[in-house]
Amino acid sequence: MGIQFRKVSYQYAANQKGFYQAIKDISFSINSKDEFISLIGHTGSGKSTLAQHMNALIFPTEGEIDIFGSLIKQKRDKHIKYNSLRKKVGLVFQFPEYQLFEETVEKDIMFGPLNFKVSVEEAKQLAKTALQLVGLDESYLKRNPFNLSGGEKKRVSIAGILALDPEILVLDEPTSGLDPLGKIQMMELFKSIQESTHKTIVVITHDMDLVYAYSSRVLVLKESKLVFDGSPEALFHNDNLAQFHLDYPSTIKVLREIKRHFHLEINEYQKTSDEAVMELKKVLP
Amino acid sequence: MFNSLFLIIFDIIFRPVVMFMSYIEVNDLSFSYNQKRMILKNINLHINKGEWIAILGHNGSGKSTLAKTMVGLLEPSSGEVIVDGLKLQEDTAYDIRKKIGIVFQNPDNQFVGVTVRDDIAFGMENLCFTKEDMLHNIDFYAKKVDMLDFLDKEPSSLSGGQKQRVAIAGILAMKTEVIIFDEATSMLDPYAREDLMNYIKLLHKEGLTIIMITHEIEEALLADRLFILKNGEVYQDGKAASLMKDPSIFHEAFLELPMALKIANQLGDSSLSNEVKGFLWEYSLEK
Repeated sequence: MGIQFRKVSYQYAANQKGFYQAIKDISFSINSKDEFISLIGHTGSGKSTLAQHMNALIFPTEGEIDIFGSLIKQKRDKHIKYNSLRKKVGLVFQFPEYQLFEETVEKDIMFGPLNFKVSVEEAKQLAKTALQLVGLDESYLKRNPFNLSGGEKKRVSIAGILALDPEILVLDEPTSGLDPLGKIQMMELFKSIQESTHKTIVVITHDMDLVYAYSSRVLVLKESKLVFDGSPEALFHNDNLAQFHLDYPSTIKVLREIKRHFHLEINEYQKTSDEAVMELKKVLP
Repeated sequence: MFNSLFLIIFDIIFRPVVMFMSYIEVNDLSFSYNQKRMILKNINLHINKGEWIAILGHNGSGKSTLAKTMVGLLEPSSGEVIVDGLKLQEDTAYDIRKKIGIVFQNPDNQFVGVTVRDDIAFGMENLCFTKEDMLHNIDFYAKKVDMLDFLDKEPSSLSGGQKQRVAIAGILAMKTEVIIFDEATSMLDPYAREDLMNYIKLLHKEGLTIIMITHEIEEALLADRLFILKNGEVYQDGKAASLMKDPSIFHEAFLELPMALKIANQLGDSSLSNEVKGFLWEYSLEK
């Protein structure tokens, strides 16, 4: 169980003159447990459009999507409870911090659960748990979300989705706008959420270092098509990445340069700077 | 007679002052939303015409706030901003915004037009450009940022990188002297980012003053000068190449070093290790 895309295409009606093909003939499936998927591709490749199909926020113009047993096609089906799908697959938009609107963090996180007819007491409890999951302590509950830093706001908005207890969490560029340290902290957060809850996490990102270090599986979009579905190792451990309009993780780039320049016998496929240093120290006196 | 003599003396005394005055001066500027926490503390920053400066700092260091005070989007709690000899205040803000354009992190926040063409025209309309000039500028600058084929599209149908380029075209069309890029590349993929950086290099070559707000050291290294903020205060201000010689500076400003330097810093002291270190330094600066 999970999500299955079968030959899914989507066209935006750009203007009267024509259509814009955002995704094209895409098929793949996502497990509901234990996957850490990076969805990557150049700007305009269709990543966000694809993500919005994962919880039936938009319907495919061709093909079908099976979301936890409900079949999403071109038209709205009155037998499908779309709301409950959106509870199963939580989607966090890009810059979710702009969508905070309540006067306290607690109210903001409770908003989702209350919409799903949970009692106020229960919603409060869910808010508390979700806040803990995103690494903020209870003192934040009564704070005004607008006085938080960008990174904290992002965490609060992610907590709002986590409070719905989705089985799959989809995040559209959750690290954009954060500084490098903030990015790592955010990815560590997803990793810990995944390890403690076993939820499948799908992250859209442009940062190849994060893709390489954190994901168990990578989906690559290029010009609206799914052109790669496999492990980060299978993606990055070869020489023709440019065909996907992607760059190598910086560890690989730097180690390759050293290898070429100094003719050292090293394995350039290291995921972190620490690993790279360890590898170098094997050959450097 | 007395009058003209006075003018001549005035001219002799003040002309050199005007000539050596920086294009943008931020003098002793502080900012806070409430009295409790200072976002910016006593900032002094002088920027010359044609300079490319990177304002670097961790999340929450105050760098975006500084950019906003420079164009009058936020009013400093104390201190002043002078642009091209004009002190920034309510009655000069209009004139100063003709001189400085700003590209924001999220281009969705700056679109007003129904089509890309309308959007590029918006700034010029406000400045009362003639129709001929507008039509010419739209095509010219859309071409410059490779968006000529998108002029009739809705901005909302564009990708982030394309939106950002349209925003730049809109500013260039107003013929401003300075462009502030407020983390303008942070939403883009590596290729689009490199693309945008290449446009910026080109604009700088053509004489535009570039102020780049960023937390990416690799991006900041392209600038002539680094201005580093830490917790709302000026932490470093100097030539990029010389600041790079001491990586501890970046560590102390809570900034992540580029991968090559992170690796270089952890290598040993043998002669080969030192050679590799030297190589990694050059590699970082080249980029």
